[in-house]
Amino acid sequence: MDPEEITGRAYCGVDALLQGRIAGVNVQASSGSIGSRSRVSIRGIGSLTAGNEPLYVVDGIPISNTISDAGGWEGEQTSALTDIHPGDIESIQVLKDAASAAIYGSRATNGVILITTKKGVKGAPKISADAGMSLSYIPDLEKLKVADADLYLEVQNEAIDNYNRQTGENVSHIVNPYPERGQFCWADLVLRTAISWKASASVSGGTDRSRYYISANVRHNEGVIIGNKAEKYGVRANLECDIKRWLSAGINLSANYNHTHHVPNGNMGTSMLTHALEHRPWDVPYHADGSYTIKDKDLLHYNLLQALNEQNAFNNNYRIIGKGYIRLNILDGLSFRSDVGGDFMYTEDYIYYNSKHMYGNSVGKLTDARKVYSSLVTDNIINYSKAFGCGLALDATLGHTFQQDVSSTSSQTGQGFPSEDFSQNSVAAEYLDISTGRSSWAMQSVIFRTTLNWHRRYMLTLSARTDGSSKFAPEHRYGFFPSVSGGWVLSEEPFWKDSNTRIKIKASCGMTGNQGGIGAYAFQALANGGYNYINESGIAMMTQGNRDLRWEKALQYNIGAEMSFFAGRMKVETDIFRKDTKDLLYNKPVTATSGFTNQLCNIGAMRNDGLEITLEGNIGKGDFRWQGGFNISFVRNRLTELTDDDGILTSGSYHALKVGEEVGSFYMIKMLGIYQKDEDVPKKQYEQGVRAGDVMYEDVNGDGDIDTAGDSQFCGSANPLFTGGLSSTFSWKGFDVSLLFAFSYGNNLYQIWNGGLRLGNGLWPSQESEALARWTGPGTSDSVPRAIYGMTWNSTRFISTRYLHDASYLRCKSLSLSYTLPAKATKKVGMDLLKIYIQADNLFLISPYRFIDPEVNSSLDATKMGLDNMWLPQPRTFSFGVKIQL
Amino acid sequence: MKRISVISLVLMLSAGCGKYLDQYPGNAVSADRITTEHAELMVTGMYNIAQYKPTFNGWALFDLIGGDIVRTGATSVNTPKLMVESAIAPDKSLVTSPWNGYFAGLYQINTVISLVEKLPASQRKDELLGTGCFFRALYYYNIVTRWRNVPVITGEGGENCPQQPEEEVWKFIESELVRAVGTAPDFSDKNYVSKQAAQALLARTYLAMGRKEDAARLAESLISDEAFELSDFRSIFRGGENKEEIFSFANIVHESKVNMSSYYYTKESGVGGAYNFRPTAEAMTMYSETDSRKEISIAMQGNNEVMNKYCGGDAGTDPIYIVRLAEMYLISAECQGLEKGLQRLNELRIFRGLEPVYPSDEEEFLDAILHERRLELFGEGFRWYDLVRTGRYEEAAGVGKKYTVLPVPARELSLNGNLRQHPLWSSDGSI
Repeated sequence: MDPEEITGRAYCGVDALLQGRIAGVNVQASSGSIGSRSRVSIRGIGSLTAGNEPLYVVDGIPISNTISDAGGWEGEQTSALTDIHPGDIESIQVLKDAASAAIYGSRATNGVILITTKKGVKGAPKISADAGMSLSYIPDLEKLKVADADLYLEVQNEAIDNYNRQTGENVSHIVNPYPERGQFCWADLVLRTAISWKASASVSGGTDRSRYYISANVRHNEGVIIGNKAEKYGVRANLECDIKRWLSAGINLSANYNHTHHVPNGNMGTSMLTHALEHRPWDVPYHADGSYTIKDKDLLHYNLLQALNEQNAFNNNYRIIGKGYIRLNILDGLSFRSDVGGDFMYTEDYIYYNSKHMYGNSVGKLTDARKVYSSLVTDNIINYSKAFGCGLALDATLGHTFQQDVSSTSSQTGQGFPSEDFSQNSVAAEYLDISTGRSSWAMQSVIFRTTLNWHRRYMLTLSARTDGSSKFAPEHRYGFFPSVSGGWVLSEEPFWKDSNTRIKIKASCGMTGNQGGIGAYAFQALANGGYNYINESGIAMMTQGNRDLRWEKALQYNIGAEMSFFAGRMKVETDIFRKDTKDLLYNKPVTATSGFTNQLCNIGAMRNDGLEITLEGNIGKGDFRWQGGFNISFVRNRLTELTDDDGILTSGSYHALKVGEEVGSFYMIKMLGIYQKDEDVPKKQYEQGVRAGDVMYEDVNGDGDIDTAGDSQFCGSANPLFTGGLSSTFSWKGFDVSLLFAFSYGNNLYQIWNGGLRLGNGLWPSQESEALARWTGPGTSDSVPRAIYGMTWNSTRFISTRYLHDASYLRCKSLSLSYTLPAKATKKVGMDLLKIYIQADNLFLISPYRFIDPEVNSSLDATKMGLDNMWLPQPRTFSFGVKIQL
Repeated sequence: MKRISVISLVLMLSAGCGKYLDQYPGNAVSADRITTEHAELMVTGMYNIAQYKPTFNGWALFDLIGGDIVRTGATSVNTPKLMVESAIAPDKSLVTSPWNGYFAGLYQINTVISLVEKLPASQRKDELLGTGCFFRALYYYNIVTRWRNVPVITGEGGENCPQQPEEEVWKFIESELVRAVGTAPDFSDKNYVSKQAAQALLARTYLAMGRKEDAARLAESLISDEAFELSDFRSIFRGGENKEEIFSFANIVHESKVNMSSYYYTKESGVGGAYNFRPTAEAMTMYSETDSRKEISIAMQGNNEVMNKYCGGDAGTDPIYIVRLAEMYLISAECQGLEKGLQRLNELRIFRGLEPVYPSDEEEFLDAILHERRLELFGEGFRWYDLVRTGRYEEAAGVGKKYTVLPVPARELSLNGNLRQHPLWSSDGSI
């Protein structure tokens, strides 16, 4: 993947850049907040409880892709992938099948994303610089329009009337206490058009014996919620030096400092967008005297302005990713290299709620959390590479790697500050919580790989590796992962006459392992300390452990073809694969009467079958050039084995696992429609107050009643049937117009946030669209129920398909226009290149989903995906910038 | 040669990596290293676990569904009936989190008891065993009153255990408490288990079992115990010295997350609070002006009604009151009947600043007792079962019979084929 295309999107992480680009790589955002995490899945679901994310490797160093928070912030987590500056990236390579990923074996089961940063080449210094600016806002806000006071009261009072009529009770109507007030829009109060800017510069070059690439970048990124911002500063140095004819050494080093200013988001009680939709139409943020209105007394929910203004919450993150290496050429063809590197992070979370904040307990409260993370990696590799006269080329590698991850945290929460000017825990009157934590795991591996190539016609690669992980008991510690792959370049055969057509056929089979995502001490049964009583030390048996835990293993087969026609003007690449994962690591639910609610086990197996197709084309005539790309991938996942083959294991409230079903399938009660007449309501439901206008659910067990245990069924899944992307670039003279679309089909999304859809169950304001569509008499609606006071049947009583919707989409990810000045003109001002561009990201979206963003998903867990809790949608962004080279 | 030595140095370094694959946490030790030497530490841990595992939902449940509390905020309902019908179902957290919590706590209690049983005979061993048995009985009292037919687990193997009939569970509780009364240490500190605490819980158990004479006898023995006397609510619920508490969990903020007042208080309290639940209008008017319990039991914060027995707010925690002397007065009165018991009831009423009452018959007397229990024990986890055990719940709350017992969580039924749903909740409709 060429990073030039992504210049305009330098604000995001590496993961977000991949969306729509590569067949089989599906990226799902968790929200539109700055630095939010996303879920990257390569070739479908890789595991249940164990890691599902690919391994990110930057210049040979596996980096932490999880989070850069220290654990103090309760809102959305921050992705650790934004530290890699897109401008420094030379190339991104995605390894999908087992054989190509085998060299990264134990962590490669979900694929590998190899990021190579730029290097210097021999020659005079080349200077490159770019700067840009962007504007972002949340589009399509009208989709979230809240019912005005009249409509709100109409719905609430209709709900009360309906309740009174059928129960004979006498609940009184709600009246507008402030009829003089207009409708107040809380979303307008906290949302803004965010302005971001960035600049970066690099210089690279080299002499006979040394090469260098150094760069610096700054990115100031505003979020669309007032107060949300991230400031990022980074430098990089990639240096290499030939010390002797047989010895060279180098370093690749990047240092980053990030300062992120948080605003309440995610599932927090003060989360901005969510609560902007939950105030009554007449609720306002201030009293006449300028003081805040407050929850319960004046408002239904927290005052968003109070939450924003009276907090100071930020995250400082200092990070070094780097390595040093030496290379020795021992004999002709025989070389040795030794790398030592790592990923080191120091993180500080600071969350201060002053005495006026609702979480400040009237005296001010501060959580100060720190985390030190280090991941140290050593690689020692011997390589022998030789071409023999007979047309045979051999490349053999033997190596050893070791990695140790240590994470150490400390946190204190103090409260009681003399005034808002005091903001350090040392002056707190009391401490509510003081804690420390440490966790470490280590892994060592021995790798062997050999590649044979005969006349560039036949290729054969054999590889094997053994990994040992501290997460498993000594007797199950090591896993063995072999792989084999072969390729046949048909077009190199002597009988092949058509020199404009190239065809390569390849096949591979290999095994990878997985131990990510599980606890550092997963196998150990532990007696934990800290279970104290009245300041006396106590211990408790809190961790069952499981000595039988072993590696999760995936056996993957891949058959593919790469074809190129018309002298490379058209390329087709296609792969079919099957991936069988066995010994799935899973937090198996166990009966609570055992003392625990789940236990980590190796249970079951699953299968992913997939097809990937990539088409590329380019044509050109004269100054005109067109380049296009299309990719699509189909993945079908099935659970093929579970401890109990007939049983259904629920995973959380919305999903379940069953043999034969897709992992991540929704499991809930199915809504059939709306009862149009009282006579249609079965007796048992009628007795509970169900009437015409209420939701008709499918009575699976036929007992006349509806209950979760007896009537839930599988209802589709959050996994798409297919995903892909479409790109197109037109060039004419110095102009380039690029378009990128991403699409996903067949994925469902469940609206966890349904506050606006409850129609009289509670005081929640209604979404205007829902209020207007409600059932008011026979034939008025078969999808939206009546308003009914106090009864939960239609809304919160069951997890039902009433809130499960098709979230397929086609999104215009980006449209950009750039102009490169003619070389003649730029040379005059002493430049090699001068390019200006404008770009629009997320320009439009086509989707049946009713809320703003069908991609936003508050759960990144493979078994519990597809939940929309009204996290911030992804903004629409317009940017422009300039790039020069000297 | 230089090249070779560089390589051998690197290879030697990497060969030593194997030992790094043994990694240990610093906050825990391997479970098989726990021996009888750790018995005292494990007993301390049992106190910690026992107080927090049931969570707020567990300890407060009988108030939340007892008819005197309703939900507030955007999901508010005005009548307890609507709240009970929406919150009590086999998949709702008010049912599942206490179930999970009580059995998780029970696992620890059983683990501790079996460890203590390995100690050589000594007085201390008996005391520790008595403490363990008290906790086991306390947990089973809470379990059986909620779910009735439940598995009785005393050791390993809780995964697929079958249920026992309710009577068997009560018998088990009784035997545990009899053991605890015999071996637990004498009362010295309200935050630690004592023989007296076991007696009090046994009195409560006998009341539920209908063994009134035994209940009255035990209650009387505590009333006459010099260690205890009725005390002012302010000293009980605002952390003062008092002689009324027989056993309460200390529930210190950094040792437990059970934060009652966060659920009951508003942000206007000055100490924070999420204000999830409030007393009903009826509960707000049930105390007379002279009742010395009134201002500690209920209060107004701004325009909001609050339960006022717990005052820690968002950040502070309050003790979890398990058993105190006033309950013994009420048990004694109830179990002795109008003629003999009225004196105890009026003693308590007069102490709390009320006029004595003179019911004309046993039924009126029981009304008076239940009313007094409602006033005295509001917010302490009694109301629902008081109404249920006296057959008054359906009428008081206006709900169906099935709400006189909690359903077994759906998750448990699906994982454990030996469990049966309570007949009132089973979907085949056989009641």
